[in-house]
Amino acid sequence: MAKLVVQDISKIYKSGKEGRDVEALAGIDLEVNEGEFFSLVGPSGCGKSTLLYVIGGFIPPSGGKIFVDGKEVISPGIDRGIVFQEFALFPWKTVIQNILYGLEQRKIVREERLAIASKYIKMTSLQGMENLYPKELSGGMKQRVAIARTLACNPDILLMDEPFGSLDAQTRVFMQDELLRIWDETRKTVLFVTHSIEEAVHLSDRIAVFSHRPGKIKEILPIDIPRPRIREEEVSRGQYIKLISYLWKAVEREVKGF
Amino acid sequence: MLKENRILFTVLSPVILFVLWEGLSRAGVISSEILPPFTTSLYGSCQLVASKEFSKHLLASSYRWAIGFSISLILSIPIGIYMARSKRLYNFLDPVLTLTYPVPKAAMIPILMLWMGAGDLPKVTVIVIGCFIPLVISAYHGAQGVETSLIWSARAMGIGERAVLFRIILPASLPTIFSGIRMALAISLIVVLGSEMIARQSGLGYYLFNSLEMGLYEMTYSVLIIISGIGLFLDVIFSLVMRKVLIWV
Amino acid sequence: MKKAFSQYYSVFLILFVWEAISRSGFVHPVLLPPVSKIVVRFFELLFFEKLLYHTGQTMFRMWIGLGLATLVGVPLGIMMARFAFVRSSLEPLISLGFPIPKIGIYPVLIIFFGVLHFSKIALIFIEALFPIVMATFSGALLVERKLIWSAESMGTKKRKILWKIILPFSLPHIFMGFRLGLIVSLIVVFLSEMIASAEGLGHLMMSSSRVFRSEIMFVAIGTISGLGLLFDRIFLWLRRKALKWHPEAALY
Repeated sequence: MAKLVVQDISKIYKSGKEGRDVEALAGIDLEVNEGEFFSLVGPSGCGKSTLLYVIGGFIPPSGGKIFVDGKEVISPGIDRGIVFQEFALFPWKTVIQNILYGLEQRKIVREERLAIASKYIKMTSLQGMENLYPKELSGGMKQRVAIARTLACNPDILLMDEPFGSLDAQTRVFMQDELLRIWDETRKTVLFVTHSIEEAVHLSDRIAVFSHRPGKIKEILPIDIPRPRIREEEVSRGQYIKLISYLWKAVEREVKGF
Repeated sequence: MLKENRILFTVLSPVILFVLWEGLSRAGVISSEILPPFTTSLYGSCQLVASKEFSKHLLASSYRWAIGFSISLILSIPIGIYMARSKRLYNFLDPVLTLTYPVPKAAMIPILMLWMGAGDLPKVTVIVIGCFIPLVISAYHGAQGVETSLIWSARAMGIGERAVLFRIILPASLPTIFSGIRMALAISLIVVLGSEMIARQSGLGYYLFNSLEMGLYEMTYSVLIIISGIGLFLDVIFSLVMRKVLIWV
Repeated sequence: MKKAFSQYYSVFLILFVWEAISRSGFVHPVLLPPVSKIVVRFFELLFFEKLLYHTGQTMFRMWIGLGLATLVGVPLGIMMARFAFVRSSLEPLISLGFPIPKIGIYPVLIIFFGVLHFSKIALIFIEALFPIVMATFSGALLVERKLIWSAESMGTKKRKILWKIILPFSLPHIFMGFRLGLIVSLIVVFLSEMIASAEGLGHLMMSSSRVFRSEIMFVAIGTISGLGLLFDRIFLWLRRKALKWHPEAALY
């Protein structure tokens, strides 16, 4: 039984004017398996983020259903954690207070909460920064706090909406490997939206290519590069280059608007 | 929420307020001595505006306000702009402004009356003093906020200092200055009214308070309606002027 | 000490000139009593007469009015940001009420509540409500929905979002509105006491003006201004503490 089942999801944004409705998603069917790292790529505005928000329960779909572990979901829940490109940290809370946020909703004693938070602080290499405010952090650090905060709630599925899009190129590459390391430790099911094909190939087990708006899934490609994915070795593999070039063409067709 | 519903609520809420006023009064829930019906008060307002006696007071207030406000604008804005350009002036004025800004300006009325006697002068002076600080501060911030890149470009084009002031700094500071003027407008009305309610010789404030003291409550409400109307009217005029002047914003 | 002197040199200059003019006889001492005499009179009133009593009356009215305006205004502002129906209903009332010189309502309040505390508290409440509601509203509008979504995906129920997310996020704006409310309440309480009151600093001002005791008039003004300054400083200090997380705290 797949972890996440997306069944014929459609999303139409209605406008008051005649015929000006925006069809963001036009019937998406998708299955993501437990522990899988699944990416969505496609041209800008194709609806991949919209799909993520629908799965997260933040936006209601116009049609279709979402199932997690066989149960239908219609609103946000602790089983689906989300990480945004803009980090969305609570600016009035310190690093550790942000990470503790989700834990405070549950009925666990203080010592245990702190222990869990510490674990994720170590995992995301944030030691020593517990008492800093977001305004004092760099982009990479902020994203690590966002990831730690979401992981601390122990979600079944991790939704990531272009999480590294706000980072500079070097930090981005570094964070990708950090994410792989963290994912290896926790083996969460990840649904990852990105513009970068290299990023998607480096990180994922499978990649879905989106069409341009209205969003449909054109194809799903398995990435059979063995793990662990070491960048230096990977780049020289013929397989890697073939996959990248194939995906580039696939997306390019969509961008050109066929 | 549907746009139609929103517009409905927007129009409905003031209407409901007036209906409530009228209803509570006529139904006797609140004694009509204390709260005369809205329509009665409105009618009274119209009668007042037509009456000679009242118009005298209305004119007196308007005259004081207009002079005070104009002088304040002419005085404060240049000072504020100049403060942005002269560090010395800034250092001199800034502590004075910081310390005098918590002083309730209307409190100066009795002191000014001590100095200047009764009549218009103290009231006009108080308006000038009251509007001074918000206008100076907004003019200062407006002029200060003009991007140096704008000024440097102008200078590079060979435009002289005076021209830079009038053609670059002044227009660029206008939005901030206008928000200061809006605040000063509200303050000036409060000051005029307040000073007339304290000095009790002539003007709308006097008329308002007098009707209270004489127990002519109906008149009190009527005058209040007129005062509110004037306040709204001036605000509308201000918005129109601002839109015309700041058409490029 | 020296730094304070050089920064405030203009103030000291003015005070010095004041004292000199006043003592020189150019101006009648009633019109402009010397600063020194005013200070003496201040202490006299403080220890032997009823300065504390009057100040207490004034402060009591001001803080109750301001406190109520905050307790009512902040939730109102937040609700306006969250619920379109509240916003549509209240916005016209605010836009209409804002340009009206609300001191004009004072006589009506006296009709209803008499000349004692309540009419003044009501006036202060009405005056301070506007800046507080408007500032809270504009602050709450800025809350990004992704912040709310993050909280929701971590298990926060919709009811709690207001308290846990919107309120802390809007705090900088709420502080700004409160500061304006503070200034306005100070002005209004003094003004209303000058117009019609049997006690309070404003009344002290008027009663002493009628008997040409100008020194006392200056003491009254000085006291309220001094209090205003004090409250403003305390407020700024509190704000610095509460908003230490804010990236642009210095600007405020």
